[in-house]
Parts: sequence; C-alpha cells; structure tokens
Amino acid sequence: MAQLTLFELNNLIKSQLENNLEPNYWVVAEISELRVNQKGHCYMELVEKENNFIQAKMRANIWSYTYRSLSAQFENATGTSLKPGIKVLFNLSVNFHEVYGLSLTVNDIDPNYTIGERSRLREETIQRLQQEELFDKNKKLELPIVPQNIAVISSDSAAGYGDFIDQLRNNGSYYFQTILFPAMMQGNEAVVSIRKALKDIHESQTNFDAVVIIRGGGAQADLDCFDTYELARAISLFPLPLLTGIGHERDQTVADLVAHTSLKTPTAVAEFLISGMNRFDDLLHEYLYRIEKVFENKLTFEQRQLQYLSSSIEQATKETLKSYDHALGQKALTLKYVSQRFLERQHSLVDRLDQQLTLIDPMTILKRGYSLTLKNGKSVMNQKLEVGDLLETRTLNKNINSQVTAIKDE
Amino acid sequence: MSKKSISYKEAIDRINEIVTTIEGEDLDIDELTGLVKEATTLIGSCKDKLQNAESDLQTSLDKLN
Repeated sequence: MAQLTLFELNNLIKSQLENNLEPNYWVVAEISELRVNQKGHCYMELVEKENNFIQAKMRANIWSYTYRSLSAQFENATGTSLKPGIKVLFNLSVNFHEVYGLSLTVNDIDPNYTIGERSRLREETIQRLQQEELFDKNKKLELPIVPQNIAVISSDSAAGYGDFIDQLRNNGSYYFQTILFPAMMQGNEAVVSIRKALKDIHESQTNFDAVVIIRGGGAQADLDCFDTYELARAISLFPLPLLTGIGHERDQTVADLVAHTSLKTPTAVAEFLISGMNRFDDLLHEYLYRIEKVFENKLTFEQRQLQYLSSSIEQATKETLKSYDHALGQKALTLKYVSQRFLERQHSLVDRLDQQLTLIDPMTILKRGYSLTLKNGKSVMNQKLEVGDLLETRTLNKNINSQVTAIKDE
Repeated sequence: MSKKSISYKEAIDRINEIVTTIEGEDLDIDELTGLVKEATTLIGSCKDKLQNAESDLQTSLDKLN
C-alpha cells in the first residue's frame, strides 16, 4: 500500500479541486464574522443557517486591493457596509493551501442580491407592522400646535445633532427646550440603545411635546437598524409624536414610515419645528388682524349710527321748531285779524257815537240857519209863556233878546 | 277828569253816558253844549288811541315776521 506524505496528500487534494471545480462560483452566504487587518485584507466567516442552525460554514477572504473597491461599491449601492448578519451574493474561487487548508477568495460581489434581500425583509417588516396595526399608531398622535419641549435621541458627537441644535437656537424668534438622550445611531447596538433612550423619555414623557430621532452623516452610513421590526414597533407605540431626521438619500427606512413625521435631515427637522411656530405666529397675527377688522367695522358702524341719530335729532328738532313757528305764525295772523276786527269795531262804534252827537248837537241846527228860542236858558217848547216874558233867540252868530207881545196856540 | 288819566274803556262809557243823558234829559242848552264838547273831545282821543293801537299792533306783528 503506497504511502503519501501530508504534503503529497494536500497537493493531491489541491489538484483534484483545481481539476474538478470551475474557476469561480456565484454563492449566496451570510457573513457571520468579519475583520480587516492592518494591511487591509478582509477575513470573513461565511455561514448558511436554517432556523438559526448552521448548515454550512467556510472561511473567506477579500484581498486588500479588491476589498477597497468592493466594499466601497457595496456601500454605495446598498447603503450598508459589509458586516456580520447580512446575506451577500459573492463571486468566489475555491482555494486549497497546503498549509492553511481550504478557503474561499472573493473576486466580486453582486450588491443587487443584498438590496433585494433587504427590501424583502423590509417588506415583511412593514407587512407585519400593518397586520399588528402598528403602522399608523404614532401618526395618529396629535403634534402640539407649538412643540417647544423636545426630547432628542442622537449621538452627542454627531454633526447632525450640532446642526439641529444650531438651527433651533438661531431661528431668531422662538425658544426651544431640548434635552439630549444619547444613543448609538448605527451598528448592532443601535436598536437596543435607541429603545433604551425611548424608555428613558417615556418615564418623563410629561416634560416633552415631541421626540426627535436624528443622525448625521453621509449616504453610505449603515441604516439597517432603522429597518428593524423592534425599533419600528417601539416608535409606533411611543406615546409622543416622533419625528425622524435620519439623514439619508435612499428610500425611507421603516422607522421613517412609522414615525409621526419623517424628514430627510436633522436640519430639516429643525426647520419643520420652526415653520410650525411661524405658522402659529402667522395664525395669531391673522386672528389679531381679524379682531381689529371686526372692531374697526363695529366702530365705523356705531359712528355712522351716532351720526345718523344726531342728524335725525337735528331734523326732528328743526321740524318741530318749524311746526311751532308755523303755529305761532297762525296765532300771529289770528291775533292780527282779531285785533284789526276789534279796532274796526271800535272805529265804527266811535264813528256812530260821533254821528249821534252831531245829530243832537244844537250847533248843527244853528249852522243850517235855524234859531233857538229860549226862556230862562231852556227851550220854550215845553214852557208856559205869557205876554211880556223875556226871550233869548240864538242863531249861529247872534244872540237876540226880545219880549213876548202875543201868543197864539197852533 | 283830565284827558291823560282816562282809559279808553272809561272814555267810551262816558261818551255813552253823555249820549244817554242828552237823549233822555231836558238839558240846559249850555249844559248840552258843554256835554257835546266833552263827548267830541273824548271821541277824538278815542280815535287817536285807536290809531295808535293800530300802528303799535302793526309794529309788533312786523317783528314776528
């Protein structure tokens, strides 16, 4: 029985593999471990699981030159770095080294698989949230008209947090009270860390009007934690309206979808809060303007009313005076008429007396040429006359004395 | 009775009285002549008063208009 040295055996295996395997294969595998050494070479442990049970496992590496370009392309395409826990479609070559044994060398990666995989997982998460009626819960909360007390979940060193605070502070008009609840915003710890922050806020929720989750950084950042069911559920069930400004360019994360309001960046969240204040401010101004208008109209109306009333009074007074004047005029006419009538009557009375006197005036008879014959100053008509009586005869211009010589009765 | 102190009404009464006296009584001609003179004077003064009253009335009514 021929004997082989270990090296000969390993050589045999190596040549068998090289002869019988294709130069490369497209293989789907999950990264279970990953590290990059100082030279930039990437060493991974790839696995395939069925219900958390490992069915297959193999070492794999990506040489530094390849790793630099592949990891960048992968992040660009998926928004996620190569890291444990994700499934990737690798182009691999199978190598066997006499000393190091069997390993896989990565030549290429098709990021579309991971994108599809993630979008499938994302879809599943969304469906599950919808089925459990958790999708719209936070959206149904009412954001206070003027949310001024804000709980902020962020990494305290993140540029996005600084931008958010600066924007709120420098709005020039409104004061916002913010309290930071620091949390890891990426990586495996992020979900636990953010949920812990939410729990802390929950304990003092009466101090806050709203919660803001913000994260600064570029598009390449790892956002997978924001697609997890656990975080989405925590956001959805949170009793305060929750605003996200996670800072990314790709489609919204599940966290964005279940949040009360999602905005692209921390700065946008700050602007949203400020614009809410502005709208409220404008509304107040509008109310003020409307109140002023109503007041002005009322004032104008009342002034007109007063004017109308005062002119009515003037008119009525004038008319009354006029009627009094008219009545007085009538009275004056009556007075004139009555007075004139009275005077006329007096005139005719006096005239009549005048005539009467003229008729009985003895001078009237004398003027006509008659004479009066008197005995002892009285008319002789009713006196007894005897011969020898002395008589006085008056004419207009003469007094004649005579003596009776004879008397004859007729 | 002086002319000035006698009122119109008194003057008219006096004139009537004189007329009645002249018509009803057998008077001495000198008495009669005196009464007629008195009555004539009173009539003149009454006419004057009426004249004055008329113009006073006119003046007063003119002020109203």
